[in-house]
Amino acid sequence: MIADASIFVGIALLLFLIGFAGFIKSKSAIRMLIAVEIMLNSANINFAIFALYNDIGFVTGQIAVIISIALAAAEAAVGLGIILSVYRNHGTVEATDFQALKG
Amino acid sequence: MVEEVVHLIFSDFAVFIPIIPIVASFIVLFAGKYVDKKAYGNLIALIATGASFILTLLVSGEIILRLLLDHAHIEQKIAATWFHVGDVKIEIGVLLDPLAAVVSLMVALIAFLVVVYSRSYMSHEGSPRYYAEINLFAAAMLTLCLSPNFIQLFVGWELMGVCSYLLIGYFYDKEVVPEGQPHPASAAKKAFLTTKVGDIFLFAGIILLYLETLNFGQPTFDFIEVRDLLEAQAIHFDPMWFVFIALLIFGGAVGKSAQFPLHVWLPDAMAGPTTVSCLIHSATMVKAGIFLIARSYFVFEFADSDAMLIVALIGGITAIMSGTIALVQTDIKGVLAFSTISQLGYMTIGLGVGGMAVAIFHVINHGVFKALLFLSAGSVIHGAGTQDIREMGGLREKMPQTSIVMLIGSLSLAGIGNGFFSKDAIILHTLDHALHEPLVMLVWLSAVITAFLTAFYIFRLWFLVFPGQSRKPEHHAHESDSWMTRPLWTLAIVSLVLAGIYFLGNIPVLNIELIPLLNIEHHMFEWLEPLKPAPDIDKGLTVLTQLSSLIIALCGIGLAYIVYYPRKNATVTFSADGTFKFEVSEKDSIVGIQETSRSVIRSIKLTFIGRGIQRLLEKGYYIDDLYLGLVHVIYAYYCELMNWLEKNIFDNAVRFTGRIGYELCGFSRWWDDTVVDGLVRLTGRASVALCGLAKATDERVIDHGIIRGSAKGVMKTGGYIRRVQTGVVENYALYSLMGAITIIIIGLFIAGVLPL
Repeated sequence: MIADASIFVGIALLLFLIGFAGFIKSKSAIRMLIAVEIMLNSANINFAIFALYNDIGFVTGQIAVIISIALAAAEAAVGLGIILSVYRNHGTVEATDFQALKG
Repeated sequence: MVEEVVHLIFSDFAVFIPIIPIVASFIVLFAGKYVDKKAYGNLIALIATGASFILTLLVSGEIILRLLLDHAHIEQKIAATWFHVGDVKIEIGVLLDPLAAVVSLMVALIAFLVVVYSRSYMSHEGSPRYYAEINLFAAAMLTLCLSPNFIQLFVGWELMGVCSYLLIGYFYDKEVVPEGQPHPASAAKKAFLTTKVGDIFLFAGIILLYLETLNFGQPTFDFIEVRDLLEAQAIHFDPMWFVFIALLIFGGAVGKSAQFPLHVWLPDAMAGPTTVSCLIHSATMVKAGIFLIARSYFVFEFADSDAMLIVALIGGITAIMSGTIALVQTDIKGVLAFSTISQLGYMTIGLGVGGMAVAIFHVINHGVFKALLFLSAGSVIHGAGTQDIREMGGLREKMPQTSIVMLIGSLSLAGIGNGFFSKDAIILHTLDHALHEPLVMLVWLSAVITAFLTAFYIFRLWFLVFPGQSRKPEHHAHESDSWMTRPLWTLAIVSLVLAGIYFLGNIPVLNIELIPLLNIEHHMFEWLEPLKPAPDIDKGLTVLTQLSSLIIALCGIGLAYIVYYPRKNATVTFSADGTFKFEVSEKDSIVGIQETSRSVIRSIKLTFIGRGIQRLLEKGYYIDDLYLGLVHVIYAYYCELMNWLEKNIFDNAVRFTGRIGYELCGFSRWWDDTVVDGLVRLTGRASVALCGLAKATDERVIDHGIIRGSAKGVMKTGGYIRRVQTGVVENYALYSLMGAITIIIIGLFIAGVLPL
């Protein structure tokens, strides 16, 4: 129909890796949250693309994407809430400063 | 009227009208720091809005000329498919028709002038963010004006809401707010949430209209298609159901255009910069509600006439209510804000009684003169360094240009000038409509009283600001530079030219059409409602209304002159009881009249009722307090309910459980003392004996061998493994990536892609 699916999958992979690199490299929790959103979007692209290239139907994949976007929005809200409360309690959002899980 | 579809020469440019500002908005945001550094990237915004304005001038100018000269029927849609959902095709593009042409021309002109004006006005407080938001707003409004379907219209509508929010809260980090004014951040929140209430109604209306078309088998959001469907299949639909849909759509307009129950956000929105108040909260965005109803007017026409009646009544209430509040405002922007709400009420009345042509006619005229008034007010604030008219006065010598242009704007608002024609048309249509619908008589009364109030309060403002002596000489007011005065003069000239054109087209009172080509008021009906026959209004009624409109406006100005004009260099002071005091050194006959009338007014004001009314108006009819109180009452009742539940139900439940527990304890104590204790003692003896045996085993085998050994093992292992748990989030993320890669590799092995 348009182009080879692998191009889009490649773009999604690239986007995922960009998001992941951002997640690994960034110190600020807010940046990490943004990076997670990028990764989620790469997953959304996969949904839409595989729906487009399968016989299941175009709309099914798009609905999955919309649900996933709604989930991402909820997740971002919760994440920002946590970051805000962390900031209020500790005065910083640098993720490296929080090692409460350290064994 | 010739029914032929004409090809427009410049129609291909129409798509770029909204695209240029939206692109420029992003460029300004990121490059504004580097280009045109001194003015925060004003140059980019200037070029973009200027280009957009020139394109609009070409496109709309051509449409208007074709309409005037050829009497052509223009309705051209240039659109591409945006997306499909099921059978519905949503398009994105432009719809070129007379309505879009006239409104977008006004929007583009004012947006351009405001950006020019901002270069000087925002020279200290500006930022690339400001210009980016202004440009984004212009793009959103033009998208809305040119949109061919409800979905694109709604996108523009919401985008404008966001820009309004961002720009009202532009000074969000302001620390000191003048007393009695809201903080910009909370004003922005209030504006956004209040209009959102209307937006939800609008969206519900759009969806219901869509469902109605779906029922008929032709699902569409397109304006033209919906209209044609309604016209073709009128008998199959239920007009009562359309009243509901029409009122939902009107709900959106009530929010955006600040009509009666939801008008509370607009006065607070004045917390933004004056340029923003001018562009968004008087000249363009608040007109979007009127535009929306004009766009979907076929729904209102199709609905039962109750819908129109409600629209007219809401307009009437809004007009007179905010007109009276404007009388007691002491903030220069406050007067203009309430005046805007009042004039929007006029437009709503126009929609409710005369059809959309008069309303859109007033939208255009009001857009021009209210933008002029707001920009003049901005110039005054910039020059005098205050917004409070109690601290102004005597600015005519210091700001001669501003005083003249503001006089032109005030005259126009008062109903002498280009504002006369549209305001008079609305009053006339209301009166004509009232002959069939007695309830509209109230609306007409409200419109006439508001006309008087308008003339009074705007000249109260002008007389208190410009003539006389300065009340705060230490402020050193100065005239604004040419970046600000040139847009003012442009608007003033546009206002005068429009007035001249209307006058030449149809001289009021005498009712002579000097040059029929220029009778824009009449042409508006032809262009906007080509299918309806031109309204046939009695000539005598027309002359009577026009004459009385003029007299009312002059009376208002005259009363303002008598009460507020400082004759013979009177010193004006603002006293603690909330009135202006005038002290005159020399006297003549007019000063005598002024003094008597002032003392009469003061004695009325000092009575119990007078003070009550004054307080009522200053508080804005307590509508804000009512909303706040309502929330408090609901919350208080909720708390009461919870308290009652806690006291009566939960407490008793807890006590009951306690009692059962107590009784059970008594029983179990007896059981414990007699039965269990005996058993325990017996067991104890046996245990002691066994323990002796076990102790020996324990010490030798278990302690040294198993327990210590395993503990050591666990500690050692833990010591190694704990290093994995660094507590650093990134490391965990890395582990999960490694895990994912491992799973993928295993998967590839299982799938047989990689050989085992």
